[in-house]
Amino acid sequence: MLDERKKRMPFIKRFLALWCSGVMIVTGCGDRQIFDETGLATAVGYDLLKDGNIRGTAIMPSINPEAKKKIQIFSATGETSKSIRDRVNLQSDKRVLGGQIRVALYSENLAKRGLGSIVDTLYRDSSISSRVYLCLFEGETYDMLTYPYSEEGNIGIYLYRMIEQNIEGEKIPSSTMHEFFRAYYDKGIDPIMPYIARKGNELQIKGIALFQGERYVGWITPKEAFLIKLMHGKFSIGSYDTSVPAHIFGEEPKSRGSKKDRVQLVFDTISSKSQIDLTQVSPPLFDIHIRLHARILELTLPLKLENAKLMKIMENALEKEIEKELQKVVSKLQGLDVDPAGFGMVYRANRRGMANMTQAEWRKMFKEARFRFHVKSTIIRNGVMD
Amino acid sequence: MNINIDVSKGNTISAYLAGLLVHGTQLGMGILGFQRIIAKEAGHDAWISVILAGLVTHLTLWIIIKTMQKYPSADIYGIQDDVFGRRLGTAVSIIFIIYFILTAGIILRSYIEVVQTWVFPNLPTWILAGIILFLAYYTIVGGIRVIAGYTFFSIIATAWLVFDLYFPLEFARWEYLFPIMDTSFENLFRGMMAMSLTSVGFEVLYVVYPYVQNKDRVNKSAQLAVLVTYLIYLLVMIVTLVFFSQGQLMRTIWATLNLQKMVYLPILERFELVVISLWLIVILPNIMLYLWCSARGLKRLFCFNLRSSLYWILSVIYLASLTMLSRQQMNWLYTVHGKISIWVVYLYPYFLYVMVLLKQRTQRAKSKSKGESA
Repeated sequence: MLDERKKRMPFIKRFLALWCSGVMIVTGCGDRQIFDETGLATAVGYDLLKDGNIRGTAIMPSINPEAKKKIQIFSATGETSKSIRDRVNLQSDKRVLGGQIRVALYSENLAKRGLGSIVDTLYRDSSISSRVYLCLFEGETYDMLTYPYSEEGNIGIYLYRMIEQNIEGEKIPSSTMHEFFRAYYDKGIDPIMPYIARKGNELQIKGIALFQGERYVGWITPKEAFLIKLMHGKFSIGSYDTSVPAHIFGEEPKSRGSKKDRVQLVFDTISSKSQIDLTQVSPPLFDIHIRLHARILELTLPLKLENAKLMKIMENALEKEIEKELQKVVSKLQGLDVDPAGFGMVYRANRRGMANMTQAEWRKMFKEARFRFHVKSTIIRNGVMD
Repeated sequence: MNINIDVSKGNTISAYLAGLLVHGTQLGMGILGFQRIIAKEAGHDAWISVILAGLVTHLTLWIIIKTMQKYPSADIYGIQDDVFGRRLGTAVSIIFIIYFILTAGIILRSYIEVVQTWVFPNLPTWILAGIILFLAYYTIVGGIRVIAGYTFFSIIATAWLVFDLYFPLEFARWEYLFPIMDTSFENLFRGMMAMSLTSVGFEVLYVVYPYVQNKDRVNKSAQLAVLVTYLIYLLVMIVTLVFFSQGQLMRTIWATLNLQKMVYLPILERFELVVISLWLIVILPNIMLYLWCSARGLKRLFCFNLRSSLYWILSVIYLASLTMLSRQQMNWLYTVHGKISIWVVYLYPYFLYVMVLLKQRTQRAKSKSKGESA
């Protein structure tokens, strides 16, 4: 018996070794994705056509050294984004993959109809990063992506860098796919996206598009977006410009026209902290306390800033001005019936038993809500000049 | 059947390795997607459920060790034989063996599902299952010391993954955690129950215990292991709750992998692919230890050879893993396993402990009356 086992064991061992190495070799060949044979899309755009279909446009960097153009553009129409991809594959010499998509663009018309299902396909696909930036384009994305820009090179990467740079510089709020979906599935906040427009040869971020659920309803300027972020977020490097009436500094307006009545002030390296309190439940009354530290960058009046009294006046003027602007933005949002600042989240976080608050309930309350802003600003530095 | 096991000195492990075994077996597939299941019951207070589950686990572990201390050199199969008698004891032990095999099978199947969903959609199940089971077999035949050594390696090799949680925190909205204790205690309790697949693993001590060298330290190191496991769970849970909105979390199957998707390094994007590959190292100790426990059981009950019983167990799991299961069926399997594990791991130990106490009392009474009559 023992002898027999001794004989059998090496056989089993040999068999296992053979089987194991066989499996290793075989699996090495499974699911290869050779770089030369794949086309990695860097940006995709979606438009709504007149017949209700969707046209998708994808941009890929061309790695063929003989090609004259640095990018390849493919476009196809279909009812779903994956059928578009299949049709794009029919036009391409390489397998089109979405793993490197950095920016997804949607046309205004499509966004007005609702973006839920078309963004859903991107989020569902595990090969696509959650850090993809979603943006809205004024007009047709096909025209935008196929436009022969002189400077930008790969327009997908260019767009990505443009948005990233502005988000990191805190000029616009972040708008990754993850954040879009988080807001979309949350009942107390509405999603936002950068609103991009083309001006001649150049692209620019025109503002921030506001969504009501999945539907695009309107847009606001970056300055208003800054104010929204001021309400609920923390700033560390933003900048802001405003104007205050000149007479508060004791300066008489020079008789050169009404424009000089106001002094332009530009602040930067703003660091801010905000705290939103729900003071009253029904109708909701929010008390928003904002603490602001700023540095003066520019002012259009030759003032001597060593005067502490003057500084105090300036701080007060700044506080009043920002409070006024905040109030304006909030009433604009209430008019559009969207809540991109997430007051609904704050409301839910401050009240018990509201975990199942519906969107409709919150919209009704948001319309009636009142807001009081308390800004405290400190000017900590004024550059190298006094 | 012999109630006690003779463990040679060269085949023992130290108490701290036993602790590592508990930690390594607990942390596995569950952590990749436990958030949604708990949040479904407890909402944004899910982290409280995690703490509750941790407390219950500490208590249950304590009871398990208490039970084992009554029999310093027996495993659960011997104890059940002694307490319930031959037939009933064997029946209960078979349930345990089936439970161990089922758990190992579910871990294997769900890992393959993750690989197929996230990395290689076309990779056939049989290849991956074959490789994993072969690796498991190769280690198990080396005995408990090799398994413990591998577990040590796997924990060291993957512990740094905790630091990835820094990246999703960039997107955190802390409002999502408030108001604290918004849900009823009943929901918290149900959330705690839903965590069973994630927190099982400490029951392997039932089989490992006789192999531990310094048994007086087992309680300390095992409790520490459970504490570390639950601190990790709590951290992951809190990060998840502030990172996702509730509606979004309900649609996310593997929330932890979605957290990893936010990791972004200049030289490396799509970090979740790295994590999934590394996860093979994490789940191997789970599978190995569960298979070892079941093979040990077959050896103890029916005197089967460890190798030949492993052949049988492995082929059963292999064939079972080949069956095509849809996401819905997988969810159903998790639910069933969750219910079974609540009975086997969280309720049965208390019953067994009471039975052991009763048995000892009657024995003492018997020997006392014997002594009086003599």
